Amino acid sequence: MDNRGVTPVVEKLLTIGIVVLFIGSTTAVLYGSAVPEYRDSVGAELSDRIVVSAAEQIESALPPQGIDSTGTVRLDLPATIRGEPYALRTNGKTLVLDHPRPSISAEARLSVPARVDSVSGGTESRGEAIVRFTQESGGVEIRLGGAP
Amino acid sequence: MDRGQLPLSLLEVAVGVVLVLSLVGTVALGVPGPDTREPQLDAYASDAVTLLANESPEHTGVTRLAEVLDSSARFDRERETLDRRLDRILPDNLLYRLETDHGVVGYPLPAGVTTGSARATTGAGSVTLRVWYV
Amino acid sequence: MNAGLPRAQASLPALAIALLILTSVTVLSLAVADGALSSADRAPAERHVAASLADRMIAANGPTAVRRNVLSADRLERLNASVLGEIYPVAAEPAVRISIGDDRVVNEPAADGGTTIRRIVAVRRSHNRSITPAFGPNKAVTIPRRTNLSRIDLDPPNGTTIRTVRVSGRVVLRNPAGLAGKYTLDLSRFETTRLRFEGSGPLHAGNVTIEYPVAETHRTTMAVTVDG
Repeated sequence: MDNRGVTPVVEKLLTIGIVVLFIGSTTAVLYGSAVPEYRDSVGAELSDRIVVSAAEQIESALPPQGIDSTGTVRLDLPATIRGEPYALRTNGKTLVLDHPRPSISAEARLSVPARVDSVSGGTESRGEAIVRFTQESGGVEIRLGGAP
Repeated sequence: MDRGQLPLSLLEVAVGVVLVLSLVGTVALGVPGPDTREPQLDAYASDAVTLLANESPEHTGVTRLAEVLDSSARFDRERETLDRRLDRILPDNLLYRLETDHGVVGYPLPAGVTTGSARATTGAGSVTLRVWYV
Repeated sequence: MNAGLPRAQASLPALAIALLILTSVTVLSLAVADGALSSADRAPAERHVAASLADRMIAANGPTAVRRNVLSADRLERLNASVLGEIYPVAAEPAVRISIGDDRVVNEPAADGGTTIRRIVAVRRSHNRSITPAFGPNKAVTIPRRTNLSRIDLDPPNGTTIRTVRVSGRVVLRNPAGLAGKYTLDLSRFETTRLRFEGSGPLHAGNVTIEYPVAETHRTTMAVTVDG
């Protein structure tokens, strides 16, 4: 009778121990390798789409030809990618997304007509992303960032 | 005594497997379709409306489309021609619906289908064209 | 009493089998997640380049456009990757392919892949038609097709002077001393053109040759593919 009382408890404890070990090791393996990898690739996808979306927003906000004007546009961008804020800067006529993780950086070529003289400046993702268009005698200047 | 043990742990395994598979299912089935469909449909609609709106008139209007929209009577007379012209402009894998102030040309709009649309304004009124994949 | 207790215990081999099944299901779900992630790769940069190139091609000031969404067949035939690449540097890359209907306009196809954007275009082929009409006493003729320009060659017979040429009532050419030779008239393609020659003396068939462009358009789909 006593033997039967001990063995089930030991067996249950063993069972619990094995199951907890299993859960712990699976969690460790997943969070060690698979989960960060997936987060990185999702972050890379996101950054690709965000930089293309920013480029499209800038292209569609170009002032129409002929009128001397200045305008500002607020870009609609998420504040962080993979939990970290990023910066948007320009390199010639290319928009570059700078992220602390190098695998999540991306860039997109701005396809703007020839009347755009220069694209300059940069903006952070945490604040508001402002883009300023200045059209003067046929040439357009695009500037990212600065005070609103 | 021994007989009762195996089926119960099988039950536990089954519950665990069902839990994991249900989570997997949300990932596998939850990925939405590619979002190039709607911008592509919008582009098709805008192209079709441009081609339709810029055709030379046959009678006295500014463009063919402005002619047809001139009055209800004229619209009723010409709607067959408009329907055929729209059918020729658009590719075969698209269905369309043109909404104007005088009436509608085309197919009924199905529910829950991705559509693209475009508007054109003429001197005689505006039209909205909706297209969707067959 | 005690009979219920052993029934609730899992024996160790059964536990091992259960954990094995759970592990394999987890691995399976990782494979599914991998598949879902790779199918969610939309290549937004490709789509962006294809969409903006397609927009430029059909725009009213595009390299082959007659008006918005209408392309000229002649200019399309002369278009190739290097010509287009001078205007849009991205088009010179081999990854960009443009085709109109079934004809490849820019770059040969490699394999299927990349992102394709399609636009509806009308391809316009134009050729010149010329008429030498006979005139009634009012010396007027209607051009059978609506066109945006016409070239006329005036060769009045001896004794006849053409002093004014009117297009649908508006005076476009006037010379009190007499008009002769070749002129180009700008017309409107939105109205039927009626030419009227005023002056002294009759006009016969062959005195006036009118040449005008006649265009046929047929609608096809332009596909712009960007791969990589």
